[in-house]
Amino acid sequence: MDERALRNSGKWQIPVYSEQAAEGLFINLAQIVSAQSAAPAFLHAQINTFINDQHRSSALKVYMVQQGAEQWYQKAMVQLGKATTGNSNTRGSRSSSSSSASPYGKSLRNIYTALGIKSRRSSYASYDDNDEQEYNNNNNGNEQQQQQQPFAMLCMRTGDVDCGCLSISEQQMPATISQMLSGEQKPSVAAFLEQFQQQQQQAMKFRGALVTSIFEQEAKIPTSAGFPLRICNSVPVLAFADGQAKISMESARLESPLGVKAEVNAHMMASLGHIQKMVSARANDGTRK
Amino acid sequence: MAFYGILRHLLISFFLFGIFLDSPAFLIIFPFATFQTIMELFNSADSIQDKVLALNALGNAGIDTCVGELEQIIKDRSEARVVRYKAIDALRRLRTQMPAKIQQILLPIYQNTREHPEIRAYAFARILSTLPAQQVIDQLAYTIRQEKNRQVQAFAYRAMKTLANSRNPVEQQM
Repeated sequence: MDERALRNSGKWQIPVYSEQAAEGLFINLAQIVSAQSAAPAFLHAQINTFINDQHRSSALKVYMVQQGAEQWYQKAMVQLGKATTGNSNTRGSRSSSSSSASPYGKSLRNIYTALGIKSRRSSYASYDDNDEQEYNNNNNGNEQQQQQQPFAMLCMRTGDVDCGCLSISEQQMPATISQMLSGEQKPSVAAFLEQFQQQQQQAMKFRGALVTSIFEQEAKIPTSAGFPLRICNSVPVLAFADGQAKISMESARLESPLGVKAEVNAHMMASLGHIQKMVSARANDGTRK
Repeated sequence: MAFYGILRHLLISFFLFGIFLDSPAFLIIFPFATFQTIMELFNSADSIQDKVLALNALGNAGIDTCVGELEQIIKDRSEARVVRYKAIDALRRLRTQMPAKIQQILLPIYQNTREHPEIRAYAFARILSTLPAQQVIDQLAYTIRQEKNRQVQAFAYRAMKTLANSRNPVEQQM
């Protein structure tokens, strides 16, 4: 297959592996590019390890997935164009706006919708704001809105368990940015600073949990019966923290040279146990002490 | 916020019981109860973020009883693309326990040319992570050869080539 004819989607591996020691790690990079978006629909960087003859998949992984995020980019460019030139109508947007505003354009769109004709460009055609309402009325509104709703997510995974996700959607977007994208507010640094000051006056809530096992040890002892005796020892720990933090900046504050005051109210819980097991190959239940 | 609180509580509780009580009854009953609660939260969610969070929790838990529900979500074309992707991703921790079942679910998704290309590509990646047998690899290779979508073809070809040239001893067994 001619690789020069392939598109940009793919998966690649960068090994950092020693054949002699039979240990190493493998860096996997992958992206899936969409025909409807300039940004990749899926992007990930992953580290797999092979240490002590044990393979660990997704020891560390950072990945991004998005759908319809180019809508935000288009809105941002339109608003930026309005802010700089005062006229956001490019040739493409003028033609689409004129066709959708005219009665003939609307009739044509209604015919397409009634016949189920979709754009050849993709089976998930993008519609401008005027047509999105008509398309949703003709179909199941909620399902179609979710399919076209822009959404992006950045996640971090350790040990094949997602430990942090940052999602971006129109519901969670800060009010300032949402207003700027919709044109209700002009983009300005002053607006961002004002929102930052408002957030600074509010307390930030945080909540975190940690589950881990420490002092894991295992020993195999040969016995005269011929079956090895396995002794396992571990201390599982569960910790949970819930609280809020408030950071305020006061330039006239004399106690702190930086002029920063932080208040943290936290409620923490922790519990741990001690598990010791003796297991033989014959008796699977083993003896717990 | 209550939604997130419940999910986090369930996640912590699941891990807690898994550590302190290795009685088989608890390992069977409690994860099932947790899975039912998470699926109720998923079905009652009205935004993509809530659904994705529920599927994240399911993926982290790796409960084998949820495979049927995940299959329905994956095959439901009315769901958002990101939700279907997360449903496929939620099968990742079951790839060593039930590889054949995962291949049975995802292979038709990959071979369906009317399916969304990104979903197909990710289904292909998830099938490869199960270290499939030679027969499945032959089907995948045949589909790559007949593939019409350039993005899917590029991803599948490069993924297979990376796997073939991999120096990872686990992947070399394939």
